[in-house]
Amino acid sequence: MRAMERKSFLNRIWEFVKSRRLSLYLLPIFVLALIVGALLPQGSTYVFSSWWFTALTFALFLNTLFCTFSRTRAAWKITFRPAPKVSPRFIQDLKNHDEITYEGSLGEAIQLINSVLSSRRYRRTQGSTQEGISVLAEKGRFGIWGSVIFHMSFTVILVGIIISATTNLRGSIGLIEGETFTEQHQNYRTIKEAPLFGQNHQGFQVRLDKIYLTLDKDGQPTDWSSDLVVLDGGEEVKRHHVVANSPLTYKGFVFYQTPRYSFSPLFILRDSDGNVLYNAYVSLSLVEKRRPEFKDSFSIPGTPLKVKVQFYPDAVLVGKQLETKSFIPKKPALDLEVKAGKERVFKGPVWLNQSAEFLGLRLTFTGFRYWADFLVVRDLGIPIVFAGFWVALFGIVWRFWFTNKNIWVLLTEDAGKIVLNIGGKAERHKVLFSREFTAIVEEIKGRCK
Amino acid sequence: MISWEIAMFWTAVVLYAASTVLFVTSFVFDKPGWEKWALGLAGVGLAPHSVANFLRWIAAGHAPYLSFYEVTLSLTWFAVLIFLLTQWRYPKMRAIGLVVLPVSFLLLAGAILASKEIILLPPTFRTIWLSIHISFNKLALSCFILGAGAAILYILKERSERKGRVKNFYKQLPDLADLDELSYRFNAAGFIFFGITIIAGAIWANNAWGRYWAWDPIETWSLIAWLTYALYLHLRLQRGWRGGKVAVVAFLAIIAAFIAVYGVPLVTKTIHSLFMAR
Repeated sequence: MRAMERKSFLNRIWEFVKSRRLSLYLLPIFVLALIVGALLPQGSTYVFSSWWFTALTFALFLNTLFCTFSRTRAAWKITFRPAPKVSPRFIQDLKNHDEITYEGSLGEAIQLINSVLSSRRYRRTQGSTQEGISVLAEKGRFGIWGSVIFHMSFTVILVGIIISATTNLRGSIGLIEGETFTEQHQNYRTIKEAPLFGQNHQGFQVRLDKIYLTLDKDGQPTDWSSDLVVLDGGEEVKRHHVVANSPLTYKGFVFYQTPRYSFSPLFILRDSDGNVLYNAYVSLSLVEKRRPEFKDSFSIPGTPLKVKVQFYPDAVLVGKQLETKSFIPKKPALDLEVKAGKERVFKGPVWLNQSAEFLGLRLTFTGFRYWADFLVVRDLGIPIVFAGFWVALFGIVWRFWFTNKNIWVLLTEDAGKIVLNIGGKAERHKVLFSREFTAIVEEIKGRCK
Repeated sequence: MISWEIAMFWTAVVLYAASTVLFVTSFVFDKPGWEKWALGLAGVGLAPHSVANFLRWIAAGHAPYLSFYEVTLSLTWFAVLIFLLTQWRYPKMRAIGLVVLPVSFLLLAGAILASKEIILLPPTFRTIWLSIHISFNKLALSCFILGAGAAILYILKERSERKGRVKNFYKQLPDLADLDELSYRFNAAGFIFFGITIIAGAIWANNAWGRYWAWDPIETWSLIAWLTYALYLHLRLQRGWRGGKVAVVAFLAIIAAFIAVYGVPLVTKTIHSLFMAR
């Protein structure tokens, strides 16, 4: 008895979990949660990343999945159900039904029925019953599968989202023109790996050959693009001109152009004997204000020197202060401050190919290049999510395009005349179907005269 | 000197306003002949409206879908066009003009107060997916407006029939069953188009920014609207809800859709608002 009670209780739980009624509760609760998340300033953090929102999402997906399985069985039964026994009683019980008398032969009556129904694209099957000849006309038999496909797509999407969340990588790299990046964890400027990303770094290299900037009349960039080259095993395997909406893809890693760029001046530090102590490009940060600024500070290795630098692409001296007329590097200059420990040893402007001299050393600004930021993403879930989108679209269009409609006609002979009992029903759009049925009946009656 | 674009814009506003007056008069004062004049004026108004859209497109170098002014200019064009086409095919639809035309002309008149600054198309916006995203968004919103229009008329007529005081105005409206069916069909079509909008937006976002979903406020409100329409369809198809009862859900959904398009960009910074708030 207890086992039976348990089974009954479990059955009831299962029936509830896979019920469409549950979806009518879960949907508005989910929508409310979305509204709360949308209204809170930190909705993304507090709501959409929370355990309860994740649980709610899973509940909705699971309910959809279970409902869909349940619907699949129902759809199978409906699609492949045996034809009902057509009798006058069966037809009269239908909401749409009528009776027409035809003065002609049975063959002519059948031809008339077929002609009217085929002109409306109904597929017809003829049979014979005890009462007479039956004609079953049907449209959209497989329409119900559209709903199954649409709801099944959410499972595909969920699988994609889970794969995304557990295996993806998102990072950023900054590359100076001519510089090469090796795809390894430690070489990213910022990196976030999902728990199951594992050891999936590929070790190939990406070289930035050139950055292209489209500048407006003030020299502000309006468009950015880059030439990237992929090297794998020491060989060049791919070249791509990366622009917005056209990233570089290699071995599942996607390199996106970002609008972040800046300058990298080349510094050479020499001692009094002319020995080179330091020779490197230094990537300056882009400080985004009303007018962007390119500045940073860095230490020179092996020395106590700390350098603060601001780059002026098209410099002009206004009093003792450098300003830039535009962002086109026509006449570049640096505003330089050098400290040795706490003591400032140099401050002032340094033009291209000029030097700052201090403590017997000479720091020369000998050139510059652009550098650019690239977003790197590896997400194996994306194709699955997008496949789910297409399946959903296909399913929903199918569902609304095809509506199952049935019309039954029973032809019986009565006192030398043919009696047509006609009835029909549709699974949806019942009002429209009633009108269609009336029009069919009127057409048959009109042609009977 | 007034630009041709603004002149065409105001011509359309005036014609839609006149059409609205004639529409309302024809129904309220039972003058069926005026309905044809109202439709004619709306059709004529569509011509300068089209020219205004075209001139804006030429001046901006892109279709009019950035900024409040452009979004309204193109959305109302879609709404009026879809209404005129469907009422021509299905004359029973005409009554929905009582909602579509006033809403369109008021939105359009409001847009004249917005900034008309031309916004350059940023690099991430130069993609076919954006065009698909925006076109289907406009189709969806237009369908939702028509669906809401049919629902409003349903509620008004049903209330008058329930009170037993059916004025001539309500007698001219389609049957309740027809209004209910029209509302459902437009909302269902809008649901599909809005789904395509979200999908195209996700594909575009992934191509441009390396992520298909980031809980951006507009993305979130669009999902809210879409799921609310899903709830509307479930209630109708599963529970057999009809008429005023289910119309409330559709009204909430259309509010969410308009919050996504108009509300969010005005109050918060998103990928979209950069170009809407100006």
